[in-house]
Amino acid sequence: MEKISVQHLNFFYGVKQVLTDISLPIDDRQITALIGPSGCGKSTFLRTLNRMNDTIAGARAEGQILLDGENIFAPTMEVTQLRARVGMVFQRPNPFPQSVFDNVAFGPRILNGARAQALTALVEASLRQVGLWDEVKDQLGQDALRLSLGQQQRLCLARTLAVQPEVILMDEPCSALDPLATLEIEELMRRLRERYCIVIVTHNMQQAARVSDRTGFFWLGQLVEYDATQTIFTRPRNALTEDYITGRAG
Amino acid sequence: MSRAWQQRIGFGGLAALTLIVILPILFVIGNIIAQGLGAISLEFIFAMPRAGMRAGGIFPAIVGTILLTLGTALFAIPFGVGGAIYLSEYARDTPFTRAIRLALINLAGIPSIVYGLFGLGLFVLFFQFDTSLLAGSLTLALMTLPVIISASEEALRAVPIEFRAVNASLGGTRWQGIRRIVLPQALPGIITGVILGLLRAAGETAPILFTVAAFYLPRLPQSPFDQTMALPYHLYIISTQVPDMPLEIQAGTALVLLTLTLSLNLTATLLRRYFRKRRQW
Repeated sequence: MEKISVQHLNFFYGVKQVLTDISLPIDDRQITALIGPSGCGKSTFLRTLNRMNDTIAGARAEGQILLDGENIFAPTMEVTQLRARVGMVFQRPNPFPQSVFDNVAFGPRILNGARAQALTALVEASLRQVGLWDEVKDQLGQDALRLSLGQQQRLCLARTLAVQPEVILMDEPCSALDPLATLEIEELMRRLRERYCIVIVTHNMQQAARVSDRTGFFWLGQLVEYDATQTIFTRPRNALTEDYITGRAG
Repeated sequence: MSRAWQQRIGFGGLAALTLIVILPILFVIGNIIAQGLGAISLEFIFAMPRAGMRAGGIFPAIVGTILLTLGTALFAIPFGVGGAIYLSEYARDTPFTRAIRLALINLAGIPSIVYGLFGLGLFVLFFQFDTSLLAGSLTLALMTLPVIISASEEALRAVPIEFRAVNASLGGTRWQGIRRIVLPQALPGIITGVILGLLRAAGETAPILFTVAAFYLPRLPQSPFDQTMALPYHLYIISTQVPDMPLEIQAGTALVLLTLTLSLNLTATLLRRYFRKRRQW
């Protein structure tokens, strides 16, 4: 089922156009990977999906992005509500310098001032979802920055999940992690796929091949090819895609 | 000459320069303590001045300075911190905000006597607060604002931009991010800046000269519209305007003022150290 539909998206920083005529459907309960060389626009594209680029002076989008059929650029779209529906995990683990509990509780608290009892349950559920509960259940009051980097990144994921989003955007979520922690995150993504629409930007092509259902290849601000991951990695239609995934270009 | 010797001579020279800078400070403090300690007594601190200020205590001046500092804090902190939050978190880079910043830099460089005259014109005469605690506090607050704003803005900007992005990505408004993450993280720097600003206010003479300070007023102020004695001004008076003033009383007054400001300074240092230990990024 189509969760997000991007239609003829152009994106500019000032006069510089960084995305040109991007159109693609993104399905619910699937993992969509976006690959491409640095500066190809894949991260910018990801950040238009929850309008995180809004804060950048001179940033401007044209075209439409429909979330469940509703244009996210429409004046009636409340951007804070959009971001609560479309959560995001960043490149570097970035827990707040607060306790583990407060980190996960942050979103629910700012969104609806969740009641204490419901909050505790929500925090536990979110931590269980990322497989962190058993590791931290006795130290919820502990400073989040004392966790390992891999744990911190899963905590950030739990913090995002606590808001109960529909879509999760991941911007190179494993680039700061060691291989084991990376595998944990990937395993987690496969499980979360059952309930969420996941879009991941990665520069690691093996990762895209391992976890995703569909892959989009970006090059110089354009979507060169978008297809089932297996097709992209075995029989790409575009020569540029083939050059990139085989390491001849990029 | 070997590089090791160059290094030794370089370090030695720098150490000597540092020592030369510190020596006068130690000398001033030592001198004041040596000459003023004899004057310090319970009476000196808690009694009214007598005999044309040549005897008795300096209680009203101490209370006056404390009240003035508190009054300054009352006005300077909300405006200063509020302004800093606006400049750091909300203001875009427009000609308007650039003008504000330029004004702040220049305000910080204005001589304090000019603030005194301005306070006289605006608060004492125009708003008809008369020479009063209110007029003095407002004048000192004006003078302190640039310090508080720039220190607070600096502290706010030092909080990683990522935290603001995470807050936004969770659906938080900008203000929620400021209140729950940015401000708590910036607090140590803000507190330090506020205290350093107040420190300067507590020791100033010129801004209070025409706006609040009483030459001789052996009672405590009863309301914000009262005049008051204040330590810096009192020190100036007894050092220059009163004949046959015992040196001990002058030095003793200086010692009390120094103790007040240095203890504020110490508070700032301790707070900063306490918060820095707890800060993790």
